Amino acid sequence: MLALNLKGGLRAVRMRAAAPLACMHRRTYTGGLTDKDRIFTNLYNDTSPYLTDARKRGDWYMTKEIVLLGPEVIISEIKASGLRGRGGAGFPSGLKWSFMPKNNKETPQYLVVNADESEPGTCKDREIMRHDPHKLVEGCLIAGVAMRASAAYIYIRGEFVYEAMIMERAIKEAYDAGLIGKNACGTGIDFDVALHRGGGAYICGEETGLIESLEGKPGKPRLKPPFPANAGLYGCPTTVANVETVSVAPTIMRRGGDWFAGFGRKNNSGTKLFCISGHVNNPITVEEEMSIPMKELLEKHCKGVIGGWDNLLAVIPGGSSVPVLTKDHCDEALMDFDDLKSRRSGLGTAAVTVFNKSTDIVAAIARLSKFYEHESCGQCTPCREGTGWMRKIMDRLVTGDAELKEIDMLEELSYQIEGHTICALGDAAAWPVQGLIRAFRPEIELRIMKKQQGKSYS
Amino acid sequence: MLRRLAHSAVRLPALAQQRTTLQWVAGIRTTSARLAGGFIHVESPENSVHDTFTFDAESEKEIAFTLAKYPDTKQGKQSAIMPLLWIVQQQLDKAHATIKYKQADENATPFPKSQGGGGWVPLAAMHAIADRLGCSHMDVYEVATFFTMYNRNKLGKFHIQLCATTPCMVCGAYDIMHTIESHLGIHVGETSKCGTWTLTEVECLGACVNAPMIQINDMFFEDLTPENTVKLLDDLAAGREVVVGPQNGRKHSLGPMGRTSLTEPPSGPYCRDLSSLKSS
Repeated sequence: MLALNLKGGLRAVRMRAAAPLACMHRRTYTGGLTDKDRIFTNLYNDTSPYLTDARKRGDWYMTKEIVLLGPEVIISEIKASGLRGRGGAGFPSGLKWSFMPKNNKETPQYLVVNADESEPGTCKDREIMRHDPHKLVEGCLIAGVAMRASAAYIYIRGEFVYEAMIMERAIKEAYDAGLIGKNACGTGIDFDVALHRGGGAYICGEETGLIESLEGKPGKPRLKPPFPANAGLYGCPTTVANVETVSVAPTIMRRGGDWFAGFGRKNNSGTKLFCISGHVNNPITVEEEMSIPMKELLEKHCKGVIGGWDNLLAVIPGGSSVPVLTKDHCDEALMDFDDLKSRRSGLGTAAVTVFNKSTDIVAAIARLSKFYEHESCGQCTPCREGTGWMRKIMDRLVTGDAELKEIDMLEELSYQIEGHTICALGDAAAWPVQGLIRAFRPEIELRIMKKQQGKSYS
Repeated sequence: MLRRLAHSAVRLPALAQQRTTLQWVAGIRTTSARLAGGFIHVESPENSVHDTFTFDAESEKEIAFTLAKYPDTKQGKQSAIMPLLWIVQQQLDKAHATIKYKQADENATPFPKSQGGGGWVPLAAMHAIADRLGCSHMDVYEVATFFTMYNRNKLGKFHIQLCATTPCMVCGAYDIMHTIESHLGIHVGETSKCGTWTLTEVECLGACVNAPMIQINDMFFEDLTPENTVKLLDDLAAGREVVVGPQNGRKHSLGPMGRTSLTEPPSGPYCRDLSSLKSS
């Protein structure tokens, strides 16, 4: 911990020293993002999602010129923008795209877009797909060219029936207009885009599980290595990227990496779709600048927590997998990868779920344990069995029908699952429980003691 | 000693069998939909191993379109298992055409036909898919049992899938569940006697900003309260027009208190000068 602090201190000094040089980039959050700097301008379907209106909004503008810049220039521009993957892990996108083989003549290469948005709390990709589908289709072409792919598959979750319909129609429009397909946009490059509907499995949001499912098998994640960039879909080099990551690529190319890097704090640049659900007066999906303080996000766009800010109990800041934050953290938390990580939580998918004091927080997290139990694919023993045990203990903690030592047992159990599975679902199942114990241990203990007292007197 | 060995040898298969059954039960609990029929095919007059399934003309068109998406190899064909299962559900969805619906947003796209939400996949159809794609029956069974949205038993005309994961739960999903249960007289996981309704509790459907919500066949119904849920169910049962999407007049994911961004009309196409990039 000390070493970490020291390092952090050093970095802060270095950053301060370097600040005058980097003054062209705004490296702190200043607020006041205006509509002209928003990427998703049809978030609420004010105009039609289809090609004519999409073109009026600026999609497919100068795409040919951008594609002809070539993979190196596109990737260096994405690297300069500081874009980090929007699917949860926050891996630098430019770097990820550059992992694809460069001189592979034997096999095709694929871009797979992860539209299997199933993380509880998350509903941002849905808005892109049903209201701005051409941003995604154009993004497929640009990102696909950058990673030297010949085709893109969009894996959309099965429940998104309406969104799949819109995407299918948008893809057809793009084909008919010659924007994708043979000689896409007149660049001489052939690029195909196809939509694949899932069947309702959360695990298919994991990249190798998604590839398995796309190959027509049950979506059980694969061991890595080999990483998909070497052997992915049909054994060919593949990169899996989130819908939002791919969709912002065309705008970054048109407006420049510097522009995108100008928002948010260092290493957390850009704008981001936030979807805020739960106990707020105005639940909404909105595009905001990264590093916006959580309080400002909730006050400005959600018109406050139901019952006022002091009625806030806790917030899950990034989809169900990240640990819950208590109010004292929420007062100061910034919505970006690094700040939330320093609070032992995470930005995840930026799906903010707000709980006010009327919430039974133990029951809320217990429901998440049930979710993970249901969605475990059953491949690895720690996850298959452990998620079930956790759910059972959690269910008893809700009523207080447990022993005090079981809280420690549950924590121990969660650490036995975390890191012992093929994919991150085990970790994702463990973190909310760990977060609950860390933040609300007295609440759980109180329930158990009340129950035990009741027992001894009766 | 020998006798003891022989004794255990005899008992072993029985033990193994017991374990398999247990695994099945555990599997049904943890991985796949319980309601959709578990992993075991139960022979019945409407879902028999002796039936044959034929794709209709509409489905054949869809199959041709689907197969063109994937590489023309054995592996590529296997990718089409999931889309073909959807096509079967589309073909067997008789309810969709009877639903009268309205979309509040003038820019919304109508549902031209069923997308499979109200259908189901009989065993014969799984065999037809396997034969069509040149893969084994087991390949299709594996996929059809792994994913929760392939209904392996015939469900009610309206399949209500209620999202009860945490974001919906804190907004009152269980109140909606109790309302539906008491209004229709069925519990979660049951089909009503008249064959009109099936109620399932599902995990997050991805409309958390509009919680609580249900999906009925292909359509999302969002921002529910006990009152508008009852009205929605009554309207569906009576064949009256229903509004798809938010039930409280909200526009998509826009907050009920109105918009906080995107108040200006979008600016037109813009692109910076790319020539400097070309030279580098």
